Amino acid sequence: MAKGNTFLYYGKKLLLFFVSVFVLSAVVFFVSRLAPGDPLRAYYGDRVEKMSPQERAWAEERLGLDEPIAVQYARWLGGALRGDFGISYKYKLDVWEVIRSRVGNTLLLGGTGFVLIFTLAPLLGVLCAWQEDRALDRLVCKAGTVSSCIPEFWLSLVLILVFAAGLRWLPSSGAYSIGGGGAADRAVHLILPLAVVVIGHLWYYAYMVRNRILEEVRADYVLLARSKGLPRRRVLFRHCLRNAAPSYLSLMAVSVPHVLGGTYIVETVFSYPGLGTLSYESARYKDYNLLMLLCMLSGILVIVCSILAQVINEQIDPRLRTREAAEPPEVTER
Amino acid sequence: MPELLEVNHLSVSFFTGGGEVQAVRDVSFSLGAGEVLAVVGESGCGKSVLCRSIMGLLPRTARIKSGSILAAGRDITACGERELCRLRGSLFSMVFQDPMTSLNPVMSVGAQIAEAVRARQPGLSRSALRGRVAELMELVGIDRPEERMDLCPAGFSGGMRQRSVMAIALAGNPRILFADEPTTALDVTIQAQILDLLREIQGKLGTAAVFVTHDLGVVARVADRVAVMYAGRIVETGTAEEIFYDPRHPYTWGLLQALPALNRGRDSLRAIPGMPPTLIDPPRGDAFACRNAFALAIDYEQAPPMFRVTDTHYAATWLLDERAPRITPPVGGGLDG
Amino acid sequence: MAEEILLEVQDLTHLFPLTKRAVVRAVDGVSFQVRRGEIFGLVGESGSGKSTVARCVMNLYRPRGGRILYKGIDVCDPAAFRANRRMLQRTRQMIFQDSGSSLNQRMRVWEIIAEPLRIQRIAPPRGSLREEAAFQMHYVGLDAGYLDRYPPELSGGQRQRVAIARALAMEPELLVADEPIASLDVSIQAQIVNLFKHLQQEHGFSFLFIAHDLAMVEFLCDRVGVMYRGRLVEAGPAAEVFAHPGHPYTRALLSSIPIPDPRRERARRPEIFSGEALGGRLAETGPGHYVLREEG
Repeated sequence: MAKGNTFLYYGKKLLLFFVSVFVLSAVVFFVSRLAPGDPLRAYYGDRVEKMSPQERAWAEERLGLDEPIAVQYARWLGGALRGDFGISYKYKLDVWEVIRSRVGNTLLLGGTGFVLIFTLAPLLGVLCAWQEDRALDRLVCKAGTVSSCIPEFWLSLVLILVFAAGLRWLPSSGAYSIGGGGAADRAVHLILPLAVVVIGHLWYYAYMVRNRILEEVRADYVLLARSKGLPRRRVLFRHCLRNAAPSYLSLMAVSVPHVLGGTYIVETVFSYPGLGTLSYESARYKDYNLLMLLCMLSGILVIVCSILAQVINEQIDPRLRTREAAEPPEVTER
Repeated sequence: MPELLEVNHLSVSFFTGGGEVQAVRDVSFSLGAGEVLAVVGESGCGKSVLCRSIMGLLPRTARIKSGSILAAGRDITACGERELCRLRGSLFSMVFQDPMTSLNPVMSVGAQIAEAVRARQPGLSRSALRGRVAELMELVGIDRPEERMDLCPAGFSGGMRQRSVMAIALAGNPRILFADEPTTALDVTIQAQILDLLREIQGKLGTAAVFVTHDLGVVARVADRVAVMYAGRIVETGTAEEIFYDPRHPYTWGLLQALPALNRGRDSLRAIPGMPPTLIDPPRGDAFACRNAFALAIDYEQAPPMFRVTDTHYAATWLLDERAPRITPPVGGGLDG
Repeated sequence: MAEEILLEVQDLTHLFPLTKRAVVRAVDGVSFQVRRGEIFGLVGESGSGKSTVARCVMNLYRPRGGRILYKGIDVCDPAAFRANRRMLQRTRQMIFQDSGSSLNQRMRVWEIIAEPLRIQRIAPPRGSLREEAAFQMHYVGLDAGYLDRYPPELSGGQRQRVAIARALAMEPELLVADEPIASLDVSIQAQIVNLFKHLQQEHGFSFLFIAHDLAMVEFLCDRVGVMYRGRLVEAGPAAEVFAHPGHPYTRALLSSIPIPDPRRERARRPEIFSGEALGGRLAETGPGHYVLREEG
């Protein structure tokens, strides 16, 4: 591909990114304001019920809630472009501060979950493809299908009942014990939520890997590779897995938001102090500024990952690349 | 003298949802060192399955039911996958029909050839490996190999890809080369080049070859000996001259008669009526009987044994029994006869 | 000599975009005529553009240049096409190479055969649509027992017969067949070629037969056109072209036909065509025999 084309290509992707982010901000802003609920409750708590109409009007004016929604949005957008996202009504702090105290926990849970899924899925997929249609493959396929069908909140509750309430092996909620806070303590608190995140997502990706590899195994070149005298294992890893890798990478890029979404649900069930619980609270209490920033951050992650997946698909997979480049100057017979 | 490859009473079946498909039924043949055998037949007659069962590359649904395969003195049917793996590439290797799909699309051609070389000579240095790859590419007639070995198959034409596949197959100096319809997917103007190249290399290296094909023109060009297969069985075997100039089995007659070259000036081609039987429940007696204008009553009852015509020429038809009526073959003697 | 010309292809050109800038000239200035009641064979190697010509003739592709006159109507002209739509769709029929994928797998054989009649709302001449299908099947040598079968239950040869029956049910005046025997077994190929020859004699339709198997083309066709890289390099009566090929590519192609006779085949030395001499225009070298020649 020529240099100018590459520039144009990434320029288009960048433009796509900005347009998507803008549309996302507008949609989230208007939808959140159309939903019923009282934002003043987040700021003033129960005092809201005792407020007189004058007091309410004054409070709304102070928080800038009395103006038309479009004006509010324009003001928000102006602030956002300068990096000022306002304060959280509930915590009375800069929203960045609120998020900063929580983001580590979510990254720990979601990141570890993602890494586990990312590494376990190909292993499990290859194992199943290798054992295709034998007892192990069938067993894993059935178990996997069942596991991916279980709703996360239900699985969380069952695990809490068994391991926390029943056996008392593991804590049922939170990210660390009150007062304590060593690495071991944090790890113990991580086990149950992490298990739910991994169990809920792993099979979906492992199954994709399995089928993708089986597709490659059926190709003619596998027969040629084996007739060269390569062992089946080598053919599977050097040829099939390698050819399946680009589509796996793009799949994983799309999976980031998928796993993140799962993490949010799990966080709320385990009262794990991460962005998931924070989003839930901010939506519930109409903590607009906090909700906006959380949505924007999650949204940007989703958009970046989707664009990344597109780029992987279009640029990395050499089959798509060579097909375009190599057609006319074919090396032909003399 | 012990033959290089000896197949005795081999039967291979596929076990599918619809029942047992008897793809190869009681097939015996032998192949001498440096010899070229062509296996001719229609699709589904078991000729490809025959090759794959010798290479140990059958899918898991297929099983060798009985018989033995002796290659260079050892029984392949008794070998485990590990041992077969050692034999593939060095004792025998294979060229496939479609060069468009038989190369890995995302790996450079040179790397794919190198892989085959390394499977035999693991200790080779990088530069020696490149040298050997270039040598192989030159052997199969690819010019300027140094430049081309780093290209992906997408940059190669069909003929060049088939040459690359041949380089891969020859990398381990195999003693037997299987070629499964090696020219069917190629353009006619390239077919002869590839066949001549295969013959030339085979003569140079002393490799024995088994050509699987449905094209009698290919057979005429390359084969020393021919085996005609029908419905999983070998029905006639002999030298190329014997098969083309003195065929004895009615199916061989039918194949030859149907060729347009032997129908010049006629209003219609002399086609074989009907179609091949399914091998899930093959008919009793001679499977060809119901399409055979010369069928005898016994053909429907009992499968004919191999009758000897000469020391090299055998045919499985009751017409060769001494009690059968004498029939003048409708073809034979080639285009001039 | 005043034979009626049914199909006239004039200077047909079709391009396929490869990337945004590069294009492939799949068909480049091809002209030929098919007379009423003759079998015209179009031969060439893969990528020579012969299938593209067939698809342009059938209005499946819209050509970038040139005209296709069918019964004097320019089928590439949208207005002319609309005005004669029914006639054009009815009297031109096509058969594809792989009837395993060109027939709908979820339709019964009789529904496939009768579908064009149903779509064109033609009253079946033999009573019901089913009876019409049974008649056509008998005609192409298929047992009536297959009426209620689905295509995957049939063999390749039988499916191709279904495709032929479907085309013939419309009583076409032009039948276009794109490699109709290439995916069939040797013993079945001869049956289908015989069937084509027989049916053509019975019906008298014109037949554009596209193939790469030269021996079959020589046997079946009255006239042939030879294509190479999108250009028609030679056209003329089959016997004449096969006996006295004028263009070096035709000579290379003919010399590559394998001979089923070991002594002769081993003595055969195919000519190699180096790819030159593709310029110029068709010049008449014998009665009705045209060869691509450099001008001047």
